[in-house]
Amino acid sequence: MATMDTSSQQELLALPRTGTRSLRSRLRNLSGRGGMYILLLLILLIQFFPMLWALLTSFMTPAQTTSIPATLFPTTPTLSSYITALQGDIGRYYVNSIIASLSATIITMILGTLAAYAFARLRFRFKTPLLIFVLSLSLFPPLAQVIPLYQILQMLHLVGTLGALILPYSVLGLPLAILIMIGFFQDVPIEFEEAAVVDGMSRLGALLRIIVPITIPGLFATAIIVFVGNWNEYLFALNYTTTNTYTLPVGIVTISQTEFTTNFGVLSAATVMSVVPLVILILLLERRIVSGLMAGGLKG
Amino acid sequence: MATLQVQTRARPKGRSLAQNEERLGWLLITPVILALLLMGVYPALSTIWFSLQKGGSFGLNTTWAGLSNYIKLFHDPQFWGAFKFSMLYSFITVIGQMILGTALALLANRKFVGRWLLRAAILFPWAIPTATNSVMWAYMFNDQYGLINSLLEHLGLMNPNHATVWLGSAQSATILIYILAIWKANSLVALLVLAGLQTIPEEIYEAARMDGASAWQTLWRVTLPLLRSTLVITLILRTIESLQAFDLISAFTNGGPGNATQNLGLYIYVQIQQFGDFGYGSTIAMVLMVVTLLFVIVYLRTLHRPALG
Repeated sequence: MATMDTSSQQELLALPRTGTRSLRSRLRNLSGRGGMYILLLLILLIQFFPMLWALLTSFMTPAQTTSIPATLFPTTPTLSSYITALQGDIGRYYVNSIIASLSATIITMILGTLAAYAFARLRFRFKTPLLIFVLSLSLFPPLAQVIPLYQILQMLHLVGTLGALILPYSVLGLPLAILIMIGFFQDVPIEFEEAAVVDGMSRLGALLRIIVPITIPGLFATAIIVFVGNWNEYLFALNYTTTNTYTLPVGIVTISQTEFTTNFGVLSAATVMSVVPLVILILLLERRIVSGLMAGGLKG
Repeated sequence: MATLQVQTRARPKGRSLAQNEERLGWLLITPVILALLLMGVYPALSTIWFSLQKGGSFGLNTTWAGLSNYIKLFHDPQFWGAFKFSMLYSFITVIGQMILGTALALLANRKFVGRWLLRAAILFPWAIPTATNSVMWAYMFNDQYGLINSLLEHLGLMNPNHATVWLGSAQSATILIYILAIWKANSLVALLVLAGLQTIPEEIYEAARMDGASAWQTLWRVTLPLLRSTLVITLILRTIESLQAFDLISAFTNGGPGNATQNLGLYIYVQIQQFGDFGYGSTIAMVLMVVTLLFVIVYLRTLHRPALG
């Protein structure tokens, strides 16, 4: 916060000084700015608070997490909750989450890239109806899919394995990924590709060696969006996993709801661990995610 | 929606090349189409079929029921309770999300020092798993060792001997769910609107300024009309998701106290998972599907003007 205030002051000082009238407007500007930063502070507090509380709780001793009345700061900070979480089942849920989300994201991206390229660049029959079909499936309620998908997964003997999550995640991420990637591919000037084809490269070769490298930042942003969706998915994970294949969200909720005395420290530590890698990734890629969505479905 | 126009470039090429393109196009999309047929079309047909079945357990040994599930639904007070909750929840939270999310995006689109912090704050709730987040909120609002009650006591706003049992009364639990849902999905609205705002050229604002438009006029006459498509798409996405909400409520109140905060999603889950009644669960899912579709059609008919696209 401190750095922000000084830099905003510098900005104010840098304004041209021309007479009393501008002094008044500068004062108004100053109060406007002050109001804005107070608003900003309030928004930050509201947005970050629940996770901040989880972070503080994760360093508390088990006794302090259920002390009455509750306390805000850990009195004797300890890492024991993290150790307990990692040694216990949470560690396994963590690994499950990584395997399921990552594999599904990779499959979605491979299939999605090929299809999005075809929709963006190639001419073939029934293209528009097929695209409408692909996109309309994202309107289908996941709750209505739970039973039929369960039957399919049972037929494939996938229930109880991580495949029971990887398969539906891979497929259900496709419409959104395709929608976003069509936007990226259309933005690449067609001349690049034509030049490659004239040089004797196949269309597929041009896709892999010309288009994908150019659009890689956008594809990466798409992958992040897809990954976040998989990482946070709850409904299918709740229905298709057994205790061995629980993912983090299901594992965390199950712990909090089934055990008689919930260890909120461990719960918080698990929550923090499930959120932090994602948050770092998203903060680093904030601009790209916004422009990724912009390039995709929201143009028109 | 607005993005369905696909780029088709007329390029004078030989016939064999066009055939090549046709073949390659089909080759590239076939895996996706097959996967979506399996995971999308089959479930839709299966849901219709199960809604006409009764008895059995977890979908086995069911018998033909005709429309009896639908008739049962009509006379089921728990269904109507869940239906009413879903409608109110969707209505209130989507309005809240749209207004606050758009306001956040407009703020984040202004140039000021520390803007990245605001953008980070916008993205943040999106990144937290909905279910995990609900657990954290339930902990915060726990009547005994929750932080909120402790804060209220410190501020002298609550008598420790009569602590508010937030999730114990239907009214306060419902209001907290609304607040939580608005808080959680603000982010997504803001993110989409922010992306939409980037597409408005700076010159248009300059022109508005030249014409002497105030900031307020610019917002209502320039910015929001230009954002129309983005806002409609966002509204549709939010409505679909709020009608089908499950994890947020499930992990926060699990439908309680009693069935006071049970929505259609939770009711489907109870029927399927607790009672193994695939027939009745599918019938509720059918209603949910039809309601969702109706909303989407009405929104597209009344709000969407593809002319801008």
